[in-house]
Amino acid sequence: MSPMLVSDRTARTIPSVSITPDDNGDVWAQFSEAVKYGAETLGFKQPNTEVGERQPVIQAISGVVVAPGIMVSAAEYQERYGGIDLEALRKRMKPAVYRAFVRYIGSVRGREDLDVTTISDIPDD
Amino acid sequence: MALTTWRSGTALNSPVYLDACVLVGATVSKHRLYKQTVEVIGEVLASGATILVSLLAVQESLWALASLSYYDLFGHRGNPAFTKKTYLKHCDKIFAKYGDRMGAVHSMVGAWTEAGVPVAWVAKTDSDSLRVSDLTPRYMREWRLTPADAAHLALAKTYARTFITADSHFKVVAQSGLIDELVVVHLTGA
Repeated sequence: MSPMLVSDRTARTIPSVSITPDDNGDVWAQFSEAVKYGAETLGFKQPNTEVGERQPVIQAISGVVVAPGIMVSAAEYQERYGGIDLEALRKRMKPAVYRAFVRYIGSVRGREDLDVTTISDIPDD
Repeated sequence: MALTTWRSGTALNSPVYLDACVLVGATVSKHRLYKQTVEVIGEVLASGATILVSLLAVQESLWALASLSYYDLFGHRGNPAFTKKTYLKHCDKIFAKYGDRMGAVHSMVGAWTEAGVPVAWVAKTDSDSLRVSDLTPRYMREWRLTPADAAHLALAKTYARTFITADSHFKVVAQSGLIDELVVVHLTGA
């Protein structure tokens, strides 16, 4: 299966994976495994990890591959890339430049009322 | 110096100097200038233009990220004053909780460089630095700019053909027509 690029635009739903708290309560480790599984489903080979037997509980994860090796949730995609014509920009950039571009834009979560001009001014006092 | 309001497809002449609000504006999501800053950065990268970055712009970006972190830390809305005294009081807490984000602009510019984007740090030479330090107080006086804004303008005047900013203070300078061969591209968020 070839990787899904941003040109596909529509968020793809990755098959359901099970996440339950493990003995150490490390949900993030399980989440990481779930993401890796999703990435493999999209054609990105991931390092082998040992996944213990778990009771099925949860839920499907939606993800969008913005560039090879960069996958975000559908919600994050909307927040960081929504309304931006990434496809047009991708066609004009070298792959490495496009990857560097999408990797960092919007990487810090802001909010609507933030004035980036005002907060960039270092006060005298 | 001419003034152009950014629209998608606006041509950008290389080299391009990026104001701090553009660097931080493209790194932080959701604010009203976010889409425009991302579009203009995308256009700069796609066009292959040389990007000019200054330590002054990075320093101001760090201040902006520290401000945002302080707001997030205490749930402040709007953009209340973030003073040096406030920063020093809460510095440890800011870095304990949001230390990772403080490197965001550095990482972004570093990734561009690694990908082969022509990025130049200014000022480049001692003689250029002398020129910038000479122009800065002149611009402070002529246009009533803060030292930092005047230094940005002096750096842009010395090296760039395009100066991208969202700071409305530079509109007055651009409209004066007193600095030739430099186009100010202004981001309005509209």
